[in-house]
Amino acid sequence: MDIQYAIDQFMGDKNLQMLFLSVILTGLLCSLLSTFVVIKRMALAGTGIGGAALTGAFVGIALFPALNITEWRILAISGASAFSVALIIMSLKRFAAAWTDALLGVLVIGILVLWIISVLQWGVEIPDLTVYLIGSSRIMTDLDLYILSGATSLVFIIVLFCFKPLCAICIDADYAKVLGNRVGLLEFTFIGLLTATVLFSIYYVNYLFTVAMLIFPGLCGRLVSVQLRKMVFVSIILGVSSCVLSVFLSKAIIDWPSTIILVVIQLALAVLFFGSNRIRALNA
Amino acid sequence: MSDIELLSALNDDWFEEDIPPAEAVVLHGGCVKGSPDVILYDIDLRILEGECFGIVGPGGAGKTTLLHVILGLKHLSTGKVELFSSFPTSRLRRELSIGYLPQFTEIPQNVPATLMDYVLMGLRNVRGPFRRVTRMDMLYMENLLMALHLEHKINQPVGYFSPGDQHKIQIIRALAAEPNLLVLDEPFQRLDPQGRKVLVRLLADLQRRNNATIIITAQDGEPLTAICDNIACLNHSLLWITESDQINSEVWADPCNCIPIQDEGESDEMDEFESVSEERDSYAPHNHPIQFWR
Repeated sequence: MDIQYAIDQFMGDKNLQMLFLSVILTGLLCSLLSTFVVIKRMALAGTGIGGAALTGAFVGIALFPALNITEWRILAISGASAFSVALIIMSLKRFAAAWTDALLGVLVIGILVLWIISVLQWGVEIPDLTVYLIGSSRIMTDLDLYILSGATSLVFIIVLFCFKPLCAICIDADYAKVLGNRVGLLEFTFIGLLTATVLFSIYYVNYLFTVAMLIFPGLCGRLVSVQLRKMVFVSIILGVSSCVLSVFLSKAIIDWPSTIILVVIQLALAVLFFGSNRIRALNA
Repeated sequence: MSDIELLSALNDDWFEEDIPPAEAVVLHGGCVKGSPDVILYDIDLRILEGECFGIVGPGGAGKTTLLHVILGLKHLSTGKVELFSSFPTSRLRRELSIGYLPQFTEIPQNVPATLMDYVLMGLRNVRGPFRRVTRMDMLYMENLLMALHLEHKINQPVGYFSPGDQHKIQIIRALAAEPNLLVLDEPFQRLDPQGRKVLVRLLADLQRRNNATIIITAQDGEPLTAICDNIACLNHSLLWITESDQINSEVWADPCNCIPIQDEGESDEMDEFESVSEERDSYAPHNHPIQFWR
């Protein structure tokens, strides 16, 4: 496809522009928290929270059959389900025992199975599963865009205000406590932000995008730098640019879902950074 | 000298003589129950502002727990603790400038920080969320790094340093904010003789400039005599407290089984302490036979 034609098409199509903006905003949101997710070894948490959000949504549909999946009551049930699982994960992470990671894995698999069962039981039809997994469940409106922009700004402000304490608990939580940081409250705030981010990201984009964006940018940042500030910066730059590139490639060059292209791009970047990191380590 | 200057000088003398130093730490009847044993038993302790206080005792005697109680990181089962006349909460710790050296554990390799990031963490509570580190802070930090020979490694990941260097880095972090209260858990354990001298010099310097209250624990009490005003021996309960110049090297051979006694009539407090300790030791969890040493 001609790139100029694709750009012209993009400029003339408002839906496409909305989709583009929503992907950038959710990409920004996820990649901002991604570094902390990776450093705090919570990569499975995004997967579990996302699964719980979707399970909650389908349970909501079972309870209120007349409602659409985007209605606030369904969203509330979905959010409550996601937040409860987030709290369980947070409690599990406090134990340093060998079985905690295994238990976390079992919990996440259980949630995913529950989600699939809930879709089969209460979903309208089977394709719903793929829509939530790699597609987009809704057409963006101006209001959606405002809500998403507001949520992104709010999360940014909270992270900016709590950045130093968050860094402190990532580096040495015990020392952060001695300095008077409320470690429990910060952990709670972080898990709250993560749950909100996962909910927004799943509702405005999809599940696979959310999980990928919570892991890959942070991982790449971790492989590029040893400083938290630089990691967060690299994570945001890589996250947002790969979102832009994947949407563009999906609409202009390769006729694949943009989420699949995003995962392929980020996987390639992670392999590249991992390789260069190993080479640097060997040379050192 | 004019009358006003004379009056002012007299007033200064009057104030200096009459205002006693405030209490930095007060512990009254402090007990911490662990499972299954008692970790701390009936601890009465008073540390004054600007004092350097040493705590000696064998491994597992409860020294770290005592420091955690003082900092408010661990709660007492019974008894009362006050830090600068307040109950030690996270808010108080934020308001005070506190330096803390935990008992040495290796820093994991995956800690996302360079040496500089790690030591700057010591400044976080005094600099607030948006304030930047000042040039003065950096100069002081550079001096500390130079004193412990780490100045040329500031950009290296902190997890990859040797255990000895990691210990020095943690000491620098504790000193970074020029704290009013400095709590050091076994700081001399991994230091070479040169490092010990440097640390003693840095602590003396901090105490002189900042009137800092310093609490240090050690298994071997000998290095403490060079810096501490008072030293206590802890083995679950406090066995003795005395001025550091009252102790000679013999006592360090077995501090838990010797009690240094001051000359008769020199201190009423000490007599009182001995009578209390006899009563208390009759029901202490670890009742050691105690030799009195003079």
